[in-house]
Amino acid sequence: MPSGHYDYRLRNLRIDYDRTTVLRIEELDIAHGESVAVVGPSGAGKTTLLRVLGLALSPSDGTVSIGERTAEGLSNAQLRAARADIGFVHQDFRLVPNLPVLQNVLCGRLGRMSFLASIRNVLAPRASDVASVYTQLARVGIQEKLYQRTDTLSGGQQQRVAIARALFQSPRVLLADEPISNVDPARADETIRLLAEICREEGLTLCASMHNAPLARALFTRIIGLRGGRVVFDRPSSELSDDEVTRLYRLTDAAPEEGSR
Amino acid sequence: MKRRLIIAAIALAGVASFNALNLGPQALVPTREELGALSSFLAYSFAPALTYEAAFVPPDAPPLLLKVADAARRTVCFAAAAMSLAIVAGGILGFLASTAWWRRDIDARGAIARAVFPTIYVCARSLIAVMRSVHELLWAVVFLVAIGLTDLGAVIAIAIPYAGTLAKVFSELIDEAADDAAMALRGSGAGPAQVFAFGLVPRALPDMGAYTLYRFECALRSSAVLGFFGPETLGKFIKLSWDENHYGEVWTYLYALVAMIVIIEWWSGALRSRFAS
Repeated sequence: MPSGHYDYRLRNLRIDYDRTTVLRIEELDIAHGESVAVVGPSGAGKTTLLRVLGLALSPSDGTVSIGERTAEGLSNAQLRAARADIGFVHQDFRLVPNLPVLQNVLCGRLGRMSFLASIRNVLAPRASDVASVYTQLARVGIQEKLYQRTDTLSGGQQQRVAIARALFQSPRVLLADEPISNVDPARADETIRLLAEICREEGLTLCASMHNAPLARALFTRIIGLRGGRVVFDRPSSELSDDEVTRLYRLTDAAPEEGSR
Repeated sequence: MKRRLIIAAIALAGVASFNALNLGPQALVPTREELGALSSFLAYSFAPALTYEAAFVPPDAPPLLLKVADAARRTVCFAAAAMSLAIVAGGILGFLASTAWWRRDIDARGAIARAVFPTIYVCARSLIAVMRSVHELLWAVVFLVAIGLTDLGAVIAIAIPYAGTLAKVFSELIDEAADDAAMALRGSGAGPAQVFAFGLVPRALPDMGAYTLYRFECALRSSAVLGFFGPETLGKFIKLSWDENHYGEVWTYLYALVAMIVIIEWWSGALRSRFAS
C-alpha cells in the first residue's frame, strides 16, 4: 500500500451484537498520520469501533476500506497482511505471562513471516532482532527488563511491553484501547503522552479510545465523541467546546451499559 | 430436590453393586491359616532382608542389595523409555486432537480444509480413545500372546495408553489455555499455526510439564508391575521371592519401590514449583 494515503474509509457501518445495534456510523475517514482520540462514556462503542479498525470485527452492514482495499473481500492471506500493518495496544495487555519480555516483543512480527521462520526468530532470535527489541524497550523506558519473565513486571511495565510489541511490529497504524484504564492515573497520562509522541515522530496514524477528555484534547489533533453507538461530534480538538464534552458524559439519557466489549 | 435424588441414586447404585457381587463384611474376616500367613508376611516388614534368604546362593550371585538397586535402575529405565515414546506420540496426537489451531478460522478457509481439519480431529480423538481404553497390563498381555513379552514390547505396552492419556490432557490444556495473547497475535496478522505455537502452547506448557512428571511416576509403578510378566523390573523379583516364601526379600524390593516413588515425587515437586514461579 502506498505510503502517504493509508487511511480508513467507513461507510454506512453497522455493528450488531445479538440483534442489538451497538455502533452505527454513516461516514468516517481517517487520513494517514492523523492522531484521533475516541472519547465517550462506557458502553458508547469505543472498543467496538477500535475492533472494526483493527479488522478483528467485520461489520453487520456497510463497508470498511483500508488503504485502497475493502476489508470485506480479503482472502485469509490478504487479511493477515493488512492486520500486520495494524498495531493494537489492548487494555489488558494480552501478553504471554510466562515468557520473557524479549519473546513477547518478538511475537509482534509474526504476521510478517512464515511459520518456520517465526519458530527460528522467536526461539533463537538474531542479534540484530534482539538489538531492535532492546531499542523499542528503551523508547518506552524498560530496556533493562529485556530478559525478565513478563509476569514479574508491574501492570504499568507490562503495558509498556505491549506498546513495544506493537512498535516492533512496525505498523502503519497504531490502535490503543483505553491505554490508561488499567494502570494508576499518574502513569496513565505518561503512557498516553508517550504513545502520542512516538506516533508523531514516526508519522503513524494513532487512534486511541479513552475516558479522559481533557487529556485527549491536549494530545490529539482530532476527537471523536461516541455515545450510545453514535458519533456525537467529530472535529479538530482545537474547535471542541467544553460544553460538548460535558454533554457527552451527562448521565441523563445515557446509553445502556452494554455491548462495548 | 433434584440433587438429593441424584445423591440417593448414587448411594443406591453402590449398595446394589455390593449386593450383586455378594460382598459382605464376612469376606473380610480371614481364616486361621490366612491370618497366620498374613501376620508372618507383615512381620517381615520390620525385617527386610539385607542378604539372600535362600539356603543355597550361587557363588557368582551379586549381593542382594546390589541386585535390588539394579532392579530399581531397570524399572526407572523402562519407565523413562516408555515416557520418551509417549511424550513424542502424545505431543503429536495432542496437537491433532486440539481444536485451537483450526476451529476459529474454519469458515474463512477453503473447502478442502473445511472437510479435512474436522476429519483429522475426529480420527485423532478416536485413536486416543482406543489407546487409553486398554490398560497397559492388557497391552502387555497382547504383546505376550503375539510376540512374547520382549523388553521393547513391555516399553511399548506402557507407551500406548500413556501416549493416549498425555494426548488427551495436552489437547485439553491447550484448548483451555487463556487465549487473550493468542487473539492479540491473531490481530497482528499471525497465522493459525503461529497463534497456536506462540499464543497458546507457552501458556499451557507449565501444566503440561507438571502432568508429564506425574505420569512418569505412574509409569514407574506400571513398569514395576510389568515385571510380573517377565521384564526384569522390581515386579519380577518380588514375584520370584514371593514364590519362594522369602518375605524379607519381598519387603526389600517393596521398600526400594517406595523409595523410588518418593524420590521421584520429591524431585518432580521441586521441578513443578520451578515451572510455576
